[in-house]
Amino acid sequence: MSAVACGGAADVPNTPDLRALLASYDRPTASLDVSTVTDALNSVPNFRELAAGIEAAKYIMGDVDYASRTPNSKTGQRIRLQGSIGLQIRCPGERTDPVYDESINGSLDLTLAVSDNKILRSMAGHAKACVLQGTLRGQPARIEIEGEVAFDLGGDVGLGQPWGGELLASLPGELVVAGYTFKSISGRLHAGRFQHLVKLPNDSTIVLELSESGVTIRDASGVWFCAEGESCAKQ
Amino acid sequence: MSLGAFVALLAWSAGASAQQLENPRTDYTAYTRPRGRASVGFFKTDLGVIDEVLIGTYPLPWFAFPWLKTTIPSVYAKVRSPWSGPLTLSLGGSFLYVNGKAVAQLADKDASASALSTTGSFDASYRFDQRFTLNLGLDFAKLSAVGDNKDEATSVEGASTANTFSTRLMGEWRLSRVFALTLLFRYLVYQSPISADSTSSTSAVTVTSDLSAESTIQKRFTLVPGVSFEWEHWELNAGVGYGVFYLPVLGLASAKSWPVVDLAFAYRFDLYH
Repeated sequence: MSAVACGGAADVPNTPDLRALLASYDRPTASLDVSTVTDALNSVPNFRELAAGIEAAKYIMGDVDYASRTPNSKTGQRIRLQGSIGLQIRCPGERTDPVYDESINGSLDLTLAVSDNKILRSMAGHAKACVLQGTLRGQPARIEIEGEVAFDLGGDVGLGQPWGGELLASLPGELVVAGYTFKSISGRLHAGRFQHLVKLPNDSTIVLELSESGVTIRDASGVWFCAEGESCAKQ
Repeated sequence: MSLGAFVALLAWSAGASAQQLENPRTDYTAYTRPRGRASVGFFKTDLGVIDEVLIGTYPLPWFAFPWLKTTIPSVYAKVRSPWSGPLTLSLGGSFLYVNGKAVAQLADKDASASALSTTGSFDASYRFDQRFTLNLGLDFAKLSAVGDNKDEATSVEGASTANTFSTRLMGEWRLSRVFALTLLFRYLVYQSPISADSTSSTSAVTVTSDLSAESTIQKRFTLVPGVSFEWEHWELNAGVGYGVFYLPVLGLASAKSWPVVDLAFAYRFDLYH
């Protein structure tokens, strides 16, 4: 398809504002004690599945990297680029050999905003039954994303530069991981670890973080460590 | 220059004659060629269809076939005011078409696109006397490139446009019927961001870009002192200066300042009267 663009600067699309959600991850509000920390941990029964689902979303960041390299990034500082980049991702499916067929594995559309030679950190899109391969307890797992999606990359990404590894995903729709369905959830990959913001019944928040040796819980006053099969202890 | 030579030059200047009226310079001025008079050069070839109308073409791109596997056609025209007197006004315009084969040779061989360049100009020339003429011009240039569809696994398609507005002022001091000094000043008023739409596709993802690019270091001024020779059949205009460089024919301006060479050389004859 071809099109003639009008002269003038290209429009920079609006991006989702995820600052409040990011702030909630950085500053949880609940104050836990020994009697409530276990209940808080158990409030997310399929935490590892959720982690596998958000980890699988890193696949999408590979396509953001591809998009970052698509404009001529050898512009240096003498050229200022702005506008939008649209991604239509044909999801690969759950098998090791990807099948890029929208009718089988769905798709995910994403709009990136470009300003001053950088892809702005937050972006929004829509998933249509997008099937990805994840890893759950060392085994391949089927991940499916449906509905609106919004991502924050932790910072703007220079054109031609790779994604830095930070990711906040807000999925108001559905995330299905190995048969478990999560609705309207968020997750964050921060410093190589998965984090999940949990809203407790009293509307206060905590952040669960998955590490190799267990789960940590961050509240307003500090960090609790919960080893597998043991009670949580404040650190 | 020695004092003697300078005095000789002034004396020569006093002999400036009707040559300026018979064969006025057509570049950067509102003047056209007299009816039936043709000028053939590598860079420009034109004909005075009638006293008030000039048409021409840029010959070199026509002969680009060995390198570009295609030719680049162009045409320009200028219409001047019909009245006599010191003030002459004119409107001009040009078209140049570059088809996809040429673009593929010039740029990315995977690219498939055509380009259309259009320019327009308004000129006002005021002849103070037989020796001195001042010319004021406004230029507009538009380059638009349109991509074509390609049924390949990976393709790069695109479209782009750029608009340039500039003004110029040129003074010509004719020192003899053959020789004149010139000073050309140009000011770039505006050059639009270049708008480039592209689609890049692999089996896994389609990336559609709607981006614009603009220079952050855009320069604006150009100053080119030069000389002009008008012999009976030959004409030579040459200048060397510094500033924004305008792409020949296309009219797009460089972002940086460069040494600028302005050159026109042609053979003139009467095709009909």
